[in-house]
Amino acid sequence: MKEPSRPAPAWRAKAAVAALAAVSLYNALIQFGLTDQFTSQYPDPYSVMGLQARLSRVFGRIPPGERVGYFSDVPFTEPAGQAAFFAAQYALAPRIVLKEDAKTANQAKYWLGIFVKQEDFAQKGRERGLALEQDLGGFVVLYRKMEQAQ
Amino acid sequence: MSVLAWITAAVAGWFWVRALFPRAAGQPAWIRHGTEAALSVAFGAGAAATVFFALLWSGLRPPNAAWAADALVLAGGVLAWLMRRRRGDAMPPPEPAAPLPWAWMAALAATGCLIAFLAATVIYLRANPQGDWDAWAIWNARAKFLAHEGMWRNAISPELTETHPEYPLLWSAAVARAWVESGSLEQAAPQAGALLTSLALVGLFACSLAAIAGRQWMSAGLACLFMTTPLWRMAPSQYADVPLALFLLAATVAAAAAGRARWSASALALSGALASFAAFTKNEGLAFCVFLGATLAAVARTRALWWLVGAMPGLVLTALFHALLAPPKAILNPAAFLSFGRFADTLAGFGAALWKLGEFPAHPLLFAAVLFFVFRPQRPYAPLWPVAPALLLLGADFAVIWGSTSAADWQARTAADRLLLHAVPVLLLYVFVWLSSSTQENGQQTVASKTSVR
Repeated sequence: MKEPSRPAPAWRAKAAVAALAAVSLYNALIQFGLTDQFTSQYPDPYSVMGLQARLSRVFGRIPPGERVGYFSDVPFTEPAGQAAFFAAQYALAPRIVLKEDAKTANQAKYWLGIFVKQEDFAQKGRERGLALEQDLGGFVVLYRKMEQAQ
Repeated sequence: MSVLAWITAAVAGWFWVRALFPRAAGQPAWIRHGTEAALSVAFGAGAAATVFFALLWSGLRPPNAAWAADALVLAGGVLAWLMRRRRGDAMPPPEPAAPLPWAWMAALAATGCLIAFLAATVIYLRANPQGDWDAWAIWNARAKFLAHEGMWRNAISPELTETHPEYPLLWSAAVARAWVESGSLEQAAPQAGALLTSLALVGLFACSLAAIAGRQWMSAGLACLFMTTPLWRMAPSQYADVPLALFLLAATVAAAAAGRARWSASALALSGALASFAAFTKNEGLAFCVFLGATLAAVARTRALWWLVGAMPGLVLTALFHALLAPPKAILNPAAFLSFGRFADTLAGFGAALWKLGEFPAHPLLFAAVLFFVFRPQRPYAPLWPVAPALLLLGADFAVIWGSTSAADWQARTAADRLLLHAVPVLLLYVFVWLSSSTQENGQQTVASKTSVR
């Protein structure tokens, strides 16, 4: 059995609807403005599409079933380091990208190095037993394991 | 072609929905078509992705699996529609709703919000075709594995330690299917999926509310839904959360329609199938599926077996995925439940997410409370049971974060807004259904208003 509720005064109901309409519309404009502002200032903030375009040049060289080793001068504990790693994984999928501390990483023939500044990229590779295969620009470098390179 | 894959799935889903969803007597055509279209997007995408993944697992090549999945869903739908087109269940017309003063103002606001929402979503998708973090780090990355011939098992490889290979695969399979059918890995496929499911979510909310409470309350409800900030952020993100929210809402709407149609077996089966798609989308969906099944067992008794019939294929696949494919990962640490600090962190995280559910003063909970205070809906609120699974899901989300193996404050901070978004459409829908049963000063307007609306 439903209890009949006390009717709401008409002025109060009108005020509630007017407030709902005004505030929701104002909020929609704010949300639209924030989206517009964000997208114009930070399109592709983690350069995911940029990295994908850069790596597309080596897709033909690395077989789809291959594991690709990965190292960077940005630690994975930092968001930028995580973003670079995940963007590399997204670009190179269906190849599995392995961080250099992963158990099976030493099996990888190809390695990817992502850096934040200009360095001696060949030396960075040699320190890990890797030969520089191709500098893809934008501090992104493809390496090959030394014994395969020789 | 990337967009066409989603459309073909929705068309195949339409036959199922048309065959299984009960019709309401005297309902305006736009409400019926809108509800069916939104449910078709959910059912079509869910069914095609589920069958696609099952066929991949059985050994088919991705293109064969994709086209065979489409053919199977379409053929099954056409068959169901041919068998049931003259025997559809019917719902009685809803009780007259209370009139809403100045409803034109709410309608204007809802229209403006919808236009702004669509524009913001499209702008974001164009500027960020890759979507947000989890889209390229998890969902679409796994879709690429599924789309490449012979590589689908990489999506569940334990080597993907950071990409959650243990997560269910429905949304990744849906994107992979669109990629395979379009013949290229263009971002247009996940973009179209995100846009279509966002539209379907909003459309299903609006049409379901209009079906029960009338066009006036639909406008008010829609204006309130658009105050939900995470909806604006998640719609173009290409995450699995908006599709999951759509499955949850669709399963609830179908179950509620079944209830109105004397526990229609076909509508219950439809609800079960939609809930099982949620279960194969995210683990939260599996929890919701259990809660909805239990709620229906309590209210529909033995008729709930029809719900189970509909849910069975999707649930079996989900169970097999977790048992045979997904790498084992401990989600809960029983000792964590003894930590008061974790409880406090989880509570603080959920509290912050609840606060940020809107941008004050535009907050859906604030306005729901204001409207409750003003309109004072009749008690007991009816129907009450459809909100139970969504509320139980929020409780389960809280418990899982509290007892998880990860840091509670980090998990609550990063996930609570998405968890709230899963439940908000269902909860807001019923808040406005209850509000529409309120008594207004000029009670005689009730019937007149409903007549003009319908």
